[in-house]
Amino acid sequence: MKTDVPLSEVSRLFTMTFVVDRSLTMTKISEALTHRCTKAVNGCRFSDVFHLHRPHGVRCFDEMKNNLDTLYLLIATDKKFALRGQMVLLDNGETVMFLGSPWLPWVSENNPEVKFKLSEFPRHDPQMDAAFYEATQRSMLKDLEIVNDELRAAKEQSDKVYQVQADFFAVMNHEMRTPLNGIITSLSLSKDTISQKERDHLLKVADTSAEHLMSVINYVLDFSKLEAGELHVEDEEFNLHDTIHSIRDILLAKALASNISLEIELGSDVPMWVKGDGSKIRQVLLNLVGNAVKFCKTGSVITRIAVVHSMGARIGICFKVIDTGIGIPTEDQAKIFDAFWSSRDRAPSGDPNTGLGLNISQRLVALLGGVLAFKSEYGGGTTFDFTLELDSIDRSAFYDDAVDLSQQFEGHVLLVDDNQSNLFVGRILLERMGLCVRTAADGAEAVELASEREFDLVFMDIAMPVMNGEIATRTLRERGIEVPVIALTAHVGKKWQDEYIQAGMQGSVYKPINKSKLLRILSQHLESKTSKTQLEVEMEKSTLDWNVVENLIRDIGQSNFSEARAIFKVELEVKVNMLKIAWDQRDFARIALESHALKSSSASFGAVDLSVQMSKIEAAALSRKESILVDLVLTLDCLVAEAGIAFTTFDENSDRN
Amino acid sequence: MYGLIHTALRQLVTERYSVEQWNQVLEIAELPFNAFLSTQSYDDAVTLNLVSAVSEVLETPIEQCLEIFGQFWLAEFAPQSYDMLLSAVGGSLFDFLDNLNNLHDRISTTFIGYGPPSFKLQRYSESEGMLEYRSARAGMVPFVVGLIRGMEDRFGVQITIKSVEVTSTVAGDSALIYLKVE
Repeated sequence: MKTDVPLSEVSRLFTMTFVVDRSLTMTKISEALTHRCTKAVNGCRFSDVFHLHRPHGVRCFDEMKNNLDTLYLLIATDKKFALRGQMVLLDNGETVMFLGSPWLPWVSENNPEVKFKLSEFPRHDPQMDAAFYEATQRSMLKDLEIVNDELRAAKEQSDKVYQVQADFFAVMNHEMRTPLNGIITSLSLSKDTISQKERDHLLKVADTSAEHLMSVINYVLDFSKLEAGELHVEDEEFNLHDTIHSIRDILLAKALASNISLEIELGSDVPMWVKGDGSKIRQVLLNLVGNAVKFCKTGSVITRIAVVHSMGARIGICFKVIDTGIGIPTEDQAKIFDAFWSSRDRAPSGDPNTGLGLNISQRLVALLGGVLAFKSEYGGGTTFDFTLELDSIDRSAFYDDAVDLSQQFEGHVLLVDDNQSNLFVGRILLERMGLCVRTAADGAEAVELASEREFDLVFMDIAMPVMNGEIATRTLRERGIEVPVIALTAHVGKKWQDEYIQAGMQGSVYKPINKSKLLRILSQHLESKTSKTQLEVEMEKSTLDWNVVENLIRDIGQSNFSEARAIFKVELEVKVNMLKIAWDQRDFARIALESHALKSSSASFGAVDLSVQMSKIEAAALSRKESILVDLVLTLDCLVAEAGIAFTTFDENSDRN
Repeated sequence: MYGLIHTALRQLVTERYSVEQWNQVLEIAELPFNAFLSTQSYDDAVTLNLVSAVSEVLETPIEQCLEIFGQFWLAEFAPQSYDMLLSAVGGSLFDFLDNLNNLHDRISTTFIGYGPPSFKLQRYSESEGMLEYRSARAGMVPFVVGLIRGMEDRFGVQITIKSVEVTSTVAGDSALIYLKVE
């Protein structure tokens, strides 16, 4: 049976075909081949059209016949095209026929501009499939590179987290153990100590260590919240001026003790009331000013607040903290915002040194939409600054109940807090406003007191031992006691306020409480007296820092304080006289000595203005600046007199209470 | 489906929308992995979960997402790796459509286990024709419509899809897509 395949059928299976005879003349060339190789026309010579790449050494027809089982790779003589295929024998061995297709890899490599069609490759030809496979493998490699990059980044992140954790434990191990040891050891020793003086000293050490520990814990909590993304920006109206001054108040005693002047420069156009996150701004400034005081051995720390731009109510406020301290060495400047980094060799011992303060500050400022930057020169001081966009509030437009700081009230108030110092400060604040105050240390005691007698208002702490503020309020309501209850809370936000209202409270006031906050609440719930007493007016005019005095009383007790104050009054009189004599004799060394002694003792008893004056006198005396000293000494009597009046006023007020 | 499809989907979402939205897609799809390898075969459920999650994140119906994806596949993703192959499929819209089946035959030789759709073009005139699509997969007709739309830029033509007649059976979907070139 004859089984010859007709050429038309062959051309369906192979796109590139031609026949070669003994004279190596080409005939029956497929159209697809002629399309790609224009030299390939009937009657042309094989060697004019193609160079035989494989098999090697085939130069004549008979050699072609002898290599029928070999792959033929043909390259066009113009190097523009190439074929791959096999030869078959036809016409009883008188001709051979090439059956093949384009040699895709060769053409792609040498003439990439050639665009093939799928139809140029027989269906069974795998070259196009291989090209697709290669492209897919390249895509796969890209995928693997991406996965590799992602894994590398994840590992780097994981290493970083591990390092942060390792640093965290290393720093905390030291920073927490030290004050904790201080507390445990002091308390343990105080049990066996006989002398009251020794016991007081040990309790003071325990108290300082506890404050230190609390500060470290606060840093850790803030850091953890930032890491977990749990700190959110609040948008509330707050008194910017008060915020700035409160920072000075907190750090003043420490600054004075270190002979550093703490100054505030508030631009005249800086609004008093703004809308923003006041507590975070305060936290950042407290950290920056606190750091500045810590690293200043002498000189000044200035907190400068200025409006840098405004558009309607939207204003840009620049906060700067400038110190004349030791500065930051160049090699440390890139690291100061790193978590857990601290210049341990330069920081005074005993201060919290977690290396988190600046890291937290930088992240808080970023959260508020600013950038915390600094300029520093080792030995030449440091300036930190950041600018925030805040909304200026025209408070008079929104508040009919603007606080009158001289307002007085009538009524009986129950103040409930488990923290004795909060009770002490709160009681004094409320009593100065004319109120009768009873205190309770927990919710159960408050319920008992409020059940026994009638109160006009209750200020109720929330987190307390025995019974918390919410349960206490619910209990009061269950007993039919309808006295207004105001929550004293550290929790800010509507969620908490709703919870307190659910418990039966009428409102809340955020800690730390201050006079203006209390006044606002009191004016809503109590009747006000028409005017305050002359005594109160005098107290407000006082040059005395009441916080310092109250802290001292808390620390050493009222009777010890009175005794110490009496000694100080005598000392003040004697030393001022000695200073004046030294001035008359222009004995600058003696002036410096006397003023130095009075500077610290005045600060200890809250005579702030007097202490600042002594500090200036000391500096002027040391630099022998007579012209400056003239004015300072002239006004000294006046300041001493003011301090005396302030002490008398305080004594009278204490007696009255 | 092969990971190539998922890689393309990731590129579409991350480039046209955002990396955060792609991360949301992965979260909603609840896959045990978040990286795809082009030549790795994944269960069809993975693809369906991803497309469904994309629809949820982009707040766009699944059909519309598939059409956008088809268009992106042909116009942007495939040319990055397979431009030579796409050129070989055809230099004009109807050539291309005519060779789609040939292309999928070849893809089948590389992606073992892949069950490709089949295509058949019927020409009515120089500018009109009907593409017949058959697939064992259900719901992919909008993707094919997107592919055709993606050919507009490639061949510099404006394509009007006059109608799409879809038939769904347990054996899969088939569609007759009537189109006209302007």
